[in-house]
Parts: sequence; structure tokens; C-alpha cells
Amino acid sequence: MIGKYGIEIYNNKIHYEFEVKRNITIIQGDSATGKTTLIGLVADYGRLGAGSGITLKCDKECLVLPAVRWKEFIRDSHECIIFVEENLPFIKSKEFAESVNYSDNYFVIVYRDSLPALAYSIEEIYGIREDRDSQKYVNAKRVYNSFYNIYNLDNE
Amino acid sequence: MIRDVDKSEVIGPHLIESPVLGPISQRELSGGVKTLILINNDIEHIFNGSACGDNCAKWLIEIGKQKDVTVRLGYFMSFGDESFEAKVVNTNKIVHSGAELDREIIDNDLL
Repeated sequence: MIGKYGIEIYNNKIHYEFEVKRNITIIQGDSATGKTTLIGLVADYGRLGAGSGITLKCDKECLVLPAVRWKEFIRDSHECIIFVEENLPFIKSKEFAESVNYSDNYFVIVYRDSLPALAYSIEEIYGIREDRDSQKYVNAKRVYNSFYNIYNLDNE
Repeated sequence: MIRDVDKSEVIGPHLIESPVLGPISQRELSGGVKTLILINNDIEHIFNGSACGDNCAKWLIEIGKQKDVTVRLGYFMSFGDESFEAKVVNTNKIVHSGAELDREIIDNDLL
């Protein structure tokens, strides 16, 4: 799988819009910025579809990696965007790295520690913040979140 | 801590009002603030400080001023300019700032 894929996911309370450009995207940053909520939206949409009250717009299927039988899940998924939440005990394992590196899926991983067994770019490490200053959302009842590069190489 | 980190108000023992999610239970609090609460109230276990973002650092320092706690930390948490005293268990070195802690981690290849 190659290329950039836009993802827009929202319900009546919160909205995320971002782009994944490479096979591994890392989400880090402050606590309570909506990382787990994002994963929850993807999971709920996966279970219930439009009946969840969630809208998901993406050219590729978005999935959440389960805690059990995860190797089979990765092996049996193709050209999907797989979200990985931070509490999973196998994230730093060699087996997980091998599964990811040999997979044709994209991965969005919420994790603060380094993952030396995975080859990811410093440019694909993001935080999430509320889009407060956009004139588009001045009177919005929904909270709009955007991604930002944690390591802003443009200023260096 | 809940007000500062999650920007939420505790209404009662089982209800918190979140500005984004609305009324939530303790379960929907951020992982960072839940970990801080556990660190503060359960001294028998060592909790994973990597569940806490940089915005939890000042609370870790505050908890450390009240009691001795041991925390596992797997990333370079930013403690800003605050002074504190912490023992790096891996090397037995006492550090007094985030910069000293970072130096100790780098010099000893702890991450």
C-alpha cells in the first residue's frame, strides 16, 4: 500500500481530520487530547457502521487492532489503516514489529515510548490539538481536532 | 488533577463532566490522569508513567513532594524548569531537574 490517505471521522461532539502518508504514523502528545477517543470512534464505527452515529470518510477501511489474535488480524487484513492503542502489551515486541513490517496495511499507533524495531519517520510523529483558532469553527458546537507534527523540522 | 489535565469537573463519585464528551464515568478519563490517581493512591504497585503526557509532569512532581513513589518511565517526559528530587533506580543516581534526568538517561543508554 502506498500513497496518502485522508481520514475524516466525527460524531455530533467531536471531529478529527488528518492524513496518513506512510505505513506507520505515531500519535503522542499530552494527556487528554483525544487519542483514545479517536480510537474509540474508529472502533465504534467498525462495529456499528453509520448506526453508531459516527461518520467516517476514508478511501481505505479503518480498523482497530484487537488485543487477542492480533497476528491473525494483521495477516488477514489487506490495504487497511489499522489503529493501535497504547495499552496493548505486545507493541514493543519483535513479533509485532515483524507483523507490521511485512504487512501491506498502514498503521496508526498511539504510543509515547520509542519503538526501535519499527521503521517510522520522525515526520510522521503527531500530536492532537483542538483547532481553536480556525475561523471555520468559531461558533461550532462540535470540537474540531487537528494533527500537528511533534517534531517540526521546518523550523530547524 | 482532573480539572487541570482533563479540563473536567468532578460532579460526584461516579460522574465527571467533560467539556468535550459531556457526562462521563471515571473510566473515560484520560489514561494520564487515571495513572496519576493510581500513583498517588496505590504505593504497592509501580505504574507506567508513559501513560502520562508532559502535561502530567507537574503532578508527578507534586505527588513526589508528598510521598516516595516509584514510577516506570519510558520516554523523555518534559519537566520544564521545575526542580525536584528523583532517584534513577537503574543507576542509583539522584537527579534534581528534567535536564539532569535526560542526561542520566542518555549517558547510560536507559532508553
